[in-house]
Amino acid sequence: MKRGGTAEVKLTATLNEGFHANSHTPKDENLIPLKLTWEPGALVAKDIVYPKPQMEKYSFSEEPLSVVTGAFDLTTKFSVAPNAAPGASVVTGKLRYQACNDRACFAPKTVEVRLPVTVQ
Amino acid sequence: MLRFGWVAAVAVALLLGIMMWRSSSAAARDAAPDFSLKDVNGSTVHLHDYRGKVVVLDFWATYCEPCQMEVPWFTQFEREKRNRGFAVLGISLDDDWSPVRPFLKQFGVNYRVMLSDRQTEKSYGGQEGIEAIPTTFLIDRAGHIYKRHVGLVPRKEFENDIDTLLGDSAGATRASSITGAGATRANTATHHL
Repeated sequence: MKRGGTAEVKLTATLNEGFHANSHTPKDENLIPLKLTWEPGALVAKDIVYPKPQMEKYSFSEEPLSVVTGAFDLTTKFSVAPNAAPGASVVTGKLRYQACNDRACFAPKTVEVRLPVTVQ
Repeated sequence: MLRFGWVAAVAVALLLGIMMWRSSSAAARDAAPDFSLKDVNGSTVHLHDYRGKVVVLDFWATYCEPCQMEVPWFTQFEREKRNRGFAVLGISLDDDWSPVRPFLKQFGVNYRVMLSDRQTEKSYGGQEGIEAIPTTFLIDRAGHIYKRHVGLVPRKEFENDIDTLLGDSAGATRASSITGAGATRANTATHHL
């Protein structure tokens, strides 16, 4: 990647069948949203496009919930910092999510994402 | 006389059998681990404070939708059954009180809620701790675990189990007093034989 340039990175995540995670915009403020963050590094995250939420009704909720299921993509639009040092480095991100099935929920998890980058 | 003696002896045998079944089934239950946790007011809560009561011990969190469904049920159970020797205790797996306090107010929670710690989670969930919520334990008056539910359970099932446990000790007392009377009668009957 060239200094001052831009790039899009697509991260694909998959939830096991029968599970859902809250979307990045859950209706209930108590629910933990899907969230991707990037540490400062050679790349600067300009925008993150989250998967389109699905409105699903579960036995435990009176209203449909805003969720993601199955395989979904998160696309990050990066720019390369103008003062980025040339060479190889790793940009680190964190994906936080909270999954449930139709009877129970699991503790929120944060998964580290490592993106190898070479700046020319 | 002989016939009355047989009837009395069979009655006593049956009652003793019922008593032994009751006591053995209760004795087979695992002891619920004690804990020492702070409630929302900063007071320390131990499970042993509730010995003699039927307890619903609920591991939950504000971010758990199925848990939210149970909260109004537990609030109602607490209100309707507390005078019969019943209590609900909630143990929140939230990281801190900040989401819990407004939640308790929003849902009008009338039972004691504490923040969890790793030790308590391990003691109830094994080495991995409590992995899924709600995880709910029904604890009898002697402090033993009657049932463990992982995930949402129909309200009626909870209510039936609670009522069973509330009736358990009353039933045992009744059985005990009946046995006493029966034994007296049996003694008398035997004497007549």
